[in-house]
Amino acid sequence: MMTTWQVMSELWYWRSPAWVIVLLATFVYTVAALRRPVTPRQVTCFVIAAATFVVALASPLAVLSSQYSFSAHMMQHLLLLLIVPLCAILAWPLSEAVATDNFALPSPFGTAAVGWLTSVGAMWFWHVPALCTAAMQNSGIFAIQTCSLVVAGAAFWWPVFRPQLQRRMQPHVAAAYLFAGCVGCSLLGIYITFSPVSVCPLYAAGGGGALELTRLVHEQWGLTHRLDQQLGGLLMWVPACMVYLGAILATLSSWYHVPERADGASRYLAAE
Amino acid sequence: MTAGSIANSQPDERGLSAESSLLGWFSSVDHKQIGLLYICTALVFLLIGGAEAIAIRLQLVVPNNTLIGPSLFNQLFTMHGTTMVFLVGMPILTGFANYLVPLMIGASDVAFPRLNAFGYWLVPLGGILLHYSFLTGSAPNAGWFNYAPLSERAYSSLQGVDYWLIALLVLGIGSVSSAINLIVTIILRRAPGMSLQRVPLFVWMMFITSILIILAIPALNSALVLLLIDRTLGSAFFDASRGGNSLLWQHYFWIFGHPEVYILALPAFGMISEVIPVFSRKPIYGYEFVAASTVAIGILSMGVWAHHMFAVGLGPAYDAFFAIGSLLIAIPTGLKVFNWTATLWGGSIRLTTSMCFAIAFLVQFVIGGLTGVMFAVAPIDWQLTDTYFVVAHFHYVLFGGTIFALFAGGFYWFPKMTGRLLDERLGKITFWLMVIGFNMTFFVQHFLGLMGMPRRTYTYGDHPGWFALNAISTAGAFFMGAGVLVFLWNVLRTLRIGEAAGDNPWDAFTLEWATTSPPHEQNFAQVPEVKSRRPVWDMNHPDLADWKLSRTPEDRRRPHSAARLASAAFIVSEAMFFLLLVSAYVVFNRTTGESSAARVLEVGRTALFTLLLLASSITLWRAERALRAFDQDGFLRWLGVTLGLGALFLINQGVEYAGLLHRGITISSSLFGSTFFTVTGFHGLHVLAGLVALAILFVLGKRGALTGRRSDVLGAIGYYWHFVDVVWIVVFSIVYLRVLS
Repeated sequence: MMTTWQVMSELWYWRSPAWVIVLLATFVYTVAALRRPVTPRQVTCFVIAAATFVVALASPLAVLSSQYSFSAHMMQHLLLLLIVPLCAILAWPLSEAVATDNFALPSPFGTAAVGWLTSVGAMWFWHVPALCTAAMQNSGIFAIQTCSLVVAGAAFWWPVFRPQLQRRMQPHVAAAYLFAGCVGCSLLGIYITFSPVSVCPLYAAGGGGALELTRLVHEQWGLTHRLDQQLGGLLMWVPACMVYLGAILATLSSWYHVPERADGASRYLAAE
Repeated sequence: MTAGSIANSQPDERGLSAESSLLGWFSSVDHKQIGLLYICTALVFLLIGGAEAIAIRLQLVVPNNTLIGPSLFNQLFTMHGTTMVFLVGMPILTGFANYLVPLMIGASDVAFPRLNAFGYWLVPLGGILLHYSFLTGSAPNAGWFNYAPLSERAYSSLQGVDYWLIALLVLGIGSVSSAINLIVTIILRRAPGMSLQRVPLFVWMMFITSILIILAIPALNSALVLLLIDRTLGSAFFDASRGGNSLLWQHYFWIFGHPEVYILALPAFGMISEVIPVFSRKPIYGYEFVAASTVAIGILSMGVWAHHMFAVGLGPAYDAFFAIGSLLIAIPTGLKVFNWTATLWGGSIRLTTSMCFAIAFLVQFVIGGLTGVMFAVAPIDWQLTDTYFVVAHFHYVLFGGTIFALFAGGFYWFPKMTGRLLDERLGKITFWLMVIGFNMTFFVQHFLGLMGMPRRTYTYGDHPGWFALNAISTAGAFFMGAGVLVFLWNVLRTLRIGEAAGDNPWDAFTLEWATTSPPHEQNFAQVPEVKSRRPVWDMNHPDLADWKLSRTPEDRRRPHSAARLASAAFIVSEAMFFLLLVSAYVVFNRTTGESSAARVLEVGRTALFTLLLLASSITLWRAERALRAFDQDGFLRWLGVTLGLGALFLINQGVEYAGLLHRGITISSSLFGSTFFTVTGFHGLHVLAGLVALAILFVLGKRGALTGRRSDVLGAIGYYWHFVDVVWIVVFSIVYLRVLS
């Protein structure tokens, strides 16, 4: 029987395309960073985004989520939907003025309704039992699923944390928007947690995977299918909401922040 | 009181007009009078709830006591809890908010004065309903959280629980209406310059509290209507013996119940955040952190309800996550305590009675908070739940915390409300009686709880130490009773011969101190300029004005339609209500049974009428457009079509109901019937309410009265109508299309 240590050390997908994507992205980011100065914080965000991407798609987490554990699968989704796009957006150099906006995306991408609907919609959509199963069995569908989660996550975070400071959502509006995102994900989490129906029936079937690993997960870790699904739902519900809550606090801090002299001074004088 | 005497009475020298006559109080829509009515009503119920508490303590003073039998004891602790939460805590905080929020933001009144009066008058109505139950044979006796199945008809056959349910529905509706009013007031009615980042912390905390109220109270309301349907129409939502689920009551109750703790605590935090800076002669330390941590508390409080349910055995995964979530709340709460302490640090402290209560609040609230953190750890909870340790814990939070904050706020704002200063010597006596009495009563209950004394049991055996500790506890209750009486004497004495206060007796900072004490009807002759968080300080100390030393965000453009904003807030609360009703449907209709949706519902026909209902949203949008374009005929035509489509939808629902009833499917025949009729019935009622509102607008439009600001009302009702359509899309997908099955 495999040990937990063996799982952590040996079960990496070395041939996953995720490595190539991360390498390419690093190259692009380095080139971009040479042309436009980035802060250490932005570099850190990029590193986190890249590392999270690899962890989600090429680490033991990805192996476990492929057919052994629903909660690992949920963790993968959360990383792809929440952490990767958020950190990727924050890694981008800020631009103060609208005029230098050379990264213009089609306008619907930046709107709140689209952001909320795509991200919450993507989560709900991929947890319809039939689609969940399909994504597990067909690598093409899995690729679509992965891309759609990252894109939906980007659509969600973009209006709040886009690099053009002037065009970001008003902080108090952003707080309400993020809370709405938290509600959308919480509802799915609550549904999955309490539902006696299996959201991804394939995990319950247990077959298909390596017997050793299946036994490790179910027996040594004590992760019965019921517990596994509850754990998945709770991950979607509680830690996911903590991410939204953190973002709310970040936007509130910018809400209380007073812009420095530049335009403040004139208003200050006008008030005199 | 005759009309003549009202007409003859002259405004007195403080600018109070004839409206201060008795009839004036009954018919008042002035936020200050309504605020005082709330506070006085809550004080009356405080005496009633306090008397119940004294009776409970008398029964428990010696072991094996027979003073009060078990049946009356159950009624007493149920009524004590219910009274203190719903008839004292909520109304008195709403009262303070009503009185102070408009003054603090420099407004002349709340956004909807008549709605305000409506919300107040529901409090006495609910209180009378609840207490009327004593005359029906038994007051409610199933505890303040009224767990099913004990509260079901089979185990509580008398009418007490029915009165409890109806009274809480009435009070809940009042709370939601006053919360919506406060939200709109705070967003729209602030004086120029008063940005949301500059409002006094009490106002900010009431804002967050009001949002919590519109999210949490509807959860209680949906639980109440489900239990009421169980008890009166014979359904079985919470009756496990007929397929229902008693745990569902616990979930629903605590989805409301946990935010409720913060609904009672946040306004108290707000009061403390006003009192401590003024009596330390310093601005609050870390305003931004106190404000932002309130948001964090509000959000976290919505997601940790199951820590009240560790003992029911949800499973290790639930326990772990809810324990962590609950522990996290300690962070923003602890942050506030540090901020208050840091405000005291290095300040020139004036130990007025108000400040003494605020400091006692700090100490006692920390104790209550720490025992709360203990309860977040599931194994400790298993050991201590339903013992006196719990009683001690929440009394430290709600009495040692909230009530002490209310005393602090009471002594602080009394001169503003009446123009006279409460006597400080009597105040200090009150303070010491309360501190000693409170800690005597409740500190020893920690030990009783650890020794295993169960709460809600009418007596106890003569175990070693129990008698002494209980006797101390009861003695403490009398100290507190005496404290309250001294306080009331102080109030009555001050009203007669109290020292005149002047506008700003404490040299305080916020706008309410910039007007007369008590304020005249319009509140302010002229609102001072607001350029910082402490406008009155700036006014009195121009050289040290806050805005010269540090800047705060400027006031921005704000929305202008009060009607639409109120409608949006109302929709949020309605969404929560429907969310829980639909959840009940999902819980009880996972399997396809004998009379399940798949077999009995005609999906095709309802789909057709669904389209008609959706079309009515479009026609209403056209009507709005026509009204904006001053096209009277077009407006009436489109509104007429909307009314027709809505009516057709309801007629179809009636036909469908008749068919189901004909086949023997009723609200009591099966859980499908119960959930189906409840969900679609409540939706139908909402459609009906929308139709009535639109019909009124139709009549007004025909008379040509829908002009100017009134046309906003159409927009507000439009929001509501679209919302009802969206709810139907959800109901249709889940009930008819069975997307979640």
